[in-house]
Amino acid sequence: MKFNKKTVVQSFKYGLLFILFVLFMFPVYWIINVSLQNNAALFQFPPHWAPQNLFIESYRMVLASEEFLMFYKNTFIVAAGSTLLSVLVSILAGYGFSKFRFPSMGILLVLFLSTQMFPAVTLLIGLYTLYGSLGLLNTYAALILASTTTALPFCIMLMKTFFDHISKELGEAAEMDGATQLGTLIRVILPLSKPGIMAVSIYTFLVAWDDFLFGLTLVSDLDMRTLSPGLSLKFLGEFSYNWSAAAAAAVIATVPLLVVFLFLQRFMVAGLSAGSVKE
Amino acid sequence: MNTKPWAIGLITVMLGASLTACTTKKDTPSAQEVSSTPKDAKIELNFANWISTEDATKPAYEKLIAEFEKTHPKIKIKSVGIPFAQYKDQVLVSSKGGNAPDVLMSNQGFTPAFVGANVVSPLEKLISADILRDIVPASKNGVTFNGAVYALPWTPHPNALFWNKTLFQKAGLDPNTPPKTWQELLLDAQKITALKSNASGSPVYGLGEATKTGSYTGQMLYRLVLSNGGKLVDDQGTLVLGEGTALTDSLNYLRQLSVQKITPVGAEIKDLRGMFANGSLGFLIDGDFGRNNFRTMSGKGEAFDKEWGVTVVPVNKTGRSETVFTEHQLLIAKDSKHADAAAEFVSYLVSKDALTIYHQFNGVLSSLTSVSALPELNEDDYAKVFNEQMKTASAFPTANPKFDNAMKEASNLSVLATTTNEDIPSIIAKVLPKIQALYQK
Repeated sequence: MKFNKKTVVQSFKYGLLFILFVLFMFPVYWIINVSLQNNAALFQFPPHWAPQNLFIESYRMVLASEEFLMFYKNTFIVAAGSTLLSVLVSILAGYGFSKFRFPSMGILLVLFLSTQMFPAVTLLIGLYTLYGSLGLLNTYAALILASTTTALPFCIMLMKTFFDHISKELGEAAEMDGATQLGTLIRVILPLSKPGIMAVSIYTFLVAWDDFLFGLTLVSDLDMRTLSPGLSLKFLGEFSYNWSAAAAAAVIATVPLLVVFLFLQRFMVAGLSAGSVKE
Repeated sequence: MNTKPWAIGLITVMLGASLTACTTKKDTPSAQEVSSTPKDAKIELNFANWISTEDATKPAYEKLIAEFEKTHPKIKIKSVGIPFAQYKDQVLVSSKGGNAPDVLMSNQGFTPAFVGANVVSPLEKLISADILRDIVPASKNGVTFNGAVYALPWTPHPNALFWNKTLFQKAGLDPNTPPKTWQELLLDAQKITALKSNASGSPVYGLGEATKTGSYTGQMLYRLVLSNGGKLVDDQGTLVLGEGTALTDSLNYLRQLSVQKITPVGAEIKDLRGMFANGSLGFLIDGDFGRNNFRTMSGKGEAFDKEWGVTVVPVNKTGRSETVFTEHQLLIAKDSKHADAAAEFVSYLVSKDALTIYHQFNGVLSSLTSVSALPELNEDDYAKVFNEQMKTASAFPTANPKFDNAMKEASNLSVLATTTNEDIPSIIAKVLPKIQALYQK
């Protein structure tokens, strides 16, 4: 049997893709597997690769938990609020950096990016004190601001890159027709920037939805907790972990992200790849 | 795909969410606001803890708070629930960030850090001398720093020996006769290990010892060192862990367990509890909360109680049942605006009334001599074994604020002894200097 070079290369590529697929999907499969077994079965060795007896009690327990639904609601409010704020600020900042030339613009851009270079945990006491003195502890506003500031440097860079690739003549034509700077941005530039805006939205939503550290530190009231610290509180106790329920909660918590990403991924890809090809 | 409806929907949801977000959640006054309220107004105490949110302890917590508020109508307790794994760091962040809780739940690992960070008050001026005198001596040693008592011991958790009766029977051992000496324990564990697998086909191990990197593993190594006649520090707080043969003997013992596959290598205590609950572990040395854990984890509830027994830890070189106890403790923040009310609350939590409630729900013990002797806290053999075990259990020598770090470092001794072939003196020579560095004065 003869194989030509192309077939061998193709097989190698698909083989590599399959290995990557397994590597990426295994944690997802495993968490679903864990969520469908009871805790006694989970401590069996060797582990069961599929549930011996399907156990859906953990899902029932999580969905019946008022606290879990409260964590869910809080997370949604924070993620949606952060997304809105992040989109708003990154559009204005990104447009400013793209359209105007001003002294120390480069330094300013580097300063924006440098905020992502500090591990959040090193800033924690300072941030906590600052939010405390502003009366923001135990508020949604604190979590929205924290997630927004985490996502913003990347979002601004992304929007700037996106605006850089929109023809300047379009804006100039609108201004010649009497449009203001803001009017040009809203009526001419933004409609052409949907993929970028969507990419920024999805990215910020994911950052806020996954946040653990700020949700843990900046709020302490149980009814203000978000999903990640909430799950830690409920299922990862001092003496034992309820792995089955924690996995079920994690699966349920991930569903909205999957739905959002499934429907909007083409915008994410388009937004992230903007500027990758030199025109 | 037409994206317009999606975009409109998304923006609507976000706007709604951000409007909701603008309504800050501030239905409770801050400490400063409370302090400026009239004298007869309610005082709100922030109580940082992890028991109010965990399913196992939540009912007891709610009952305790309800009873306290009933008898103290001017004090309201506001729970600040923090996940156990992040507890120490979060309390330090909030305390250093100017928002310290009034009362802090703690344990033997966290308290030295809170004292070292100067965020808690000594209790002599806040808590009555009668209560302080009543603290079990071993507990009092663990909460005394530079001569001052900084924490009120609440519920001690001495580690005793659980054994699996079903595996005993299968191994040809008398299910009602647990080992009394270390040698008997090892022999029984070897016989159970020889079973190889249990009814469900899972491998069986004779005895579970924690051997995964982490503070708890270091603490369990300390228990082994005690049983071999050693110590962590002397009376002056100088590290003496490497003196004598106790550490070497303990690590040789762990290596033997690992080589003979008597213990599962790389397991942490939470894994071992799960294994005991599913019948794949012959022995486990664990605290009084074991019964509730095993009932839940086995999925069999109270019926599982018939499958195991509990007794005091077998004697080894010192001739007495050497073990350690972990402990839940209560502290009052240095910056509390309501230290007197906090002291009232803490005094209630260690009282006979509160401990009786807590014991009914969770089977906990008391760190006060008078309360631990009450019939209500010794109502069954299970409680009696743990109260008996408490008499010979040692507190962790936590006076050094870096005790927790030292235990994490010490866990590397157990890990290396069970996962490598390196000779034990070399392992000690490699790790001990790091622990010594933490104890340098």
